[in-house]
Amino acid sequence: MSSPAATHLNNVCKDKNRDPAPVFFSENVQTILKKITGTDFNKVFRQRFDEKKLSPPEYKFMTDEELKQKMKNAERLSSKILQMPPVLKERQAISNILSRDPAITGFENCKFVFTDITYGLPDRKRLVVVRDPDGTLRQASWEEAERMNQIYNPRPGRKLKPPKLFQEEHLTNVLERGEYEFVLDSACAQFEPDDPEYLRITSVVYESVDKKRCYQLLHSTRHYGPLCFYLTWNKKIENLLISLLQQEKLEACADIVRLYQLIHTDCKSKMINVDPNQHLELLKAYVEHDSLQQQQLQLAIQAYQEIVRERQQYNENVKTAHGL
Amino acid sequence: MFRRLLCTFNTLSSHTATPTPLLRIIDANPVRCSLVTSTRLRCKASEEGEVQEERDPTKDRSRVIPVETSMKYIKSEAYHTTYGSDPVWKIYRRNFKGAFPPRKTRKTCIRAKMIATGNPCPICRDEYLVLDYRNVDLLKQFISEHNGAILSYSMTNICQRRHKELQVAVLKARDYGLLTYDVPFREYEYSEYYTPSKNDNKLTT
Repeated sequence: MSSPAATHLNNVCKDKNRDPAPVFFSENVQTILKKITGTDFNKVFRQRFDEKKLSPPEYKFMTDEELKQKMKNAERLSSKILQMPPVLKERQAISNILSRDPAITGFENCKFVFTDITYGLPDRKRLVVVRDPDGTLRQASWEEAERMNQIYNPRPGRKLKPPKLFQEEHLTNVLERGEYEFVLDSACAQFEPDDPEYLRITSVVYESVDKKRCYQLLHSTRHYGPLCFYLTWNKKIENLLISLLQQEKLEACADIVRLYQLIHTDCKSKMINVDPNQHLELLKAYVEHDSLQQQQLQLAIQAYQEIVRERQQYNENVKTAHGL
Repeated sequence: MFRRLLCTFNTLSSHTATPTPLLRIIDANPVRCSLVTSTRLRCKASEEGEVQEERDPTKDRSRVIPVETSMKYIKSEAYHTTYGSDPVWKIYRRNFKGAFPPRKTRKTCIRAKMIATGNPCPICRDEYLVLDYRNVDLLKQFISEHNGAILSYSMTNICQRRHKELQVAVLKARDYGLLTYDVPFREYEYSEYYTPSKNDNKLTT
């Protein structure tokens, strides 16, 4: 097998215009992403520092049925909290001119913005038009429409002017301190998922997480799914697989390889029929055919197998020592 | 006799940088006497540029301390011996008449760059505590550890002016990302962003 590394490095940039949305929202991908995100209730329902008034804890006596009901409610609420922000393509600038009236050129030296403030319309469906001083009546650009929506229907957590923390120098400062969840949450609140700014910020954060291998910080949060999707889309899953192997989470590794096969439907490892339950076999197939850093992954797999073998040996020794 | 009284009346020594006003008697008639203060009538000593005022150095707050110095001070030995590991507002007692303190703390401890009270608030009493968005160690002491809110002046006992400064500094620090907090949850309606068309191929393993 020829090494795919040289050709794949160019392939990463090839599919820049490919839309990730149909892939992201497909059922199989969604189930995989939700599975690998995990639901650690201690992290999902942790104490939130959002200036809300605190209430004292409640202690209740419950029957088994009531407890089951409460656990179901908790799971439903956790799935809401772990809702993944959509992964979309960068939006195109709007250039929709409704009418040209050169007769009214120079009527004012400023633009007029007209917003439809009908109650109950989602922000993206709201009509916002602009009358330029040269008489053109056009649909407002994305930035203008967002500004108007924020003025008439302010969203909690969103500011009219984006916070300075999204600027490069301050962003690197925040990421150095490891506050990934905070930045991603702020970006979700401030920007729309197809905003070029949002895409820039999320890619910077994901790259930083990948570089420092701090995937556990985002595990059991709503951002873990989009993080894995981004890494798989850009064929950078090696570090993630190695760190999962070191934590001995084989099923998660296998899930990521399956995600890779779903996203890159033309990959070579898909041709080989591997039993889906054999996680290690699936991983080895990926390493052999599609990986860009074969050596490191193979070393990690060997290390994992060594650890498993040693543990088995130790258990057997203990058993013989106890005379079983 | 009235004139003698007026002569013995000393000009008020003010702690301001403006030249002392002089007493001027317009008319000898006590009824038509008036107290006129004129800043134009300066004594010759001030015109030569000498400082005629004695500013109490313990109450003088005309020197602006840079933020970097304040940040270094908080990590220093001097700060540790003064405050230990408590927040700076912990060991302070407000003075007031009666059992219950007034609802609001005083408007300001410092007037015209001098401390104008005998018991300044925890921030004003230490000139090396500068409320700035970069001084995160100091700002964190004024944020509740339970819900991330800025503590009220009724708890920290700082004057109103410093409380406003604190609020501005905390908001700025949050804007720059130096202080983190939990952002309000953003719920997405997936149908707004993607509607699967019937032509989409279902991806299978």
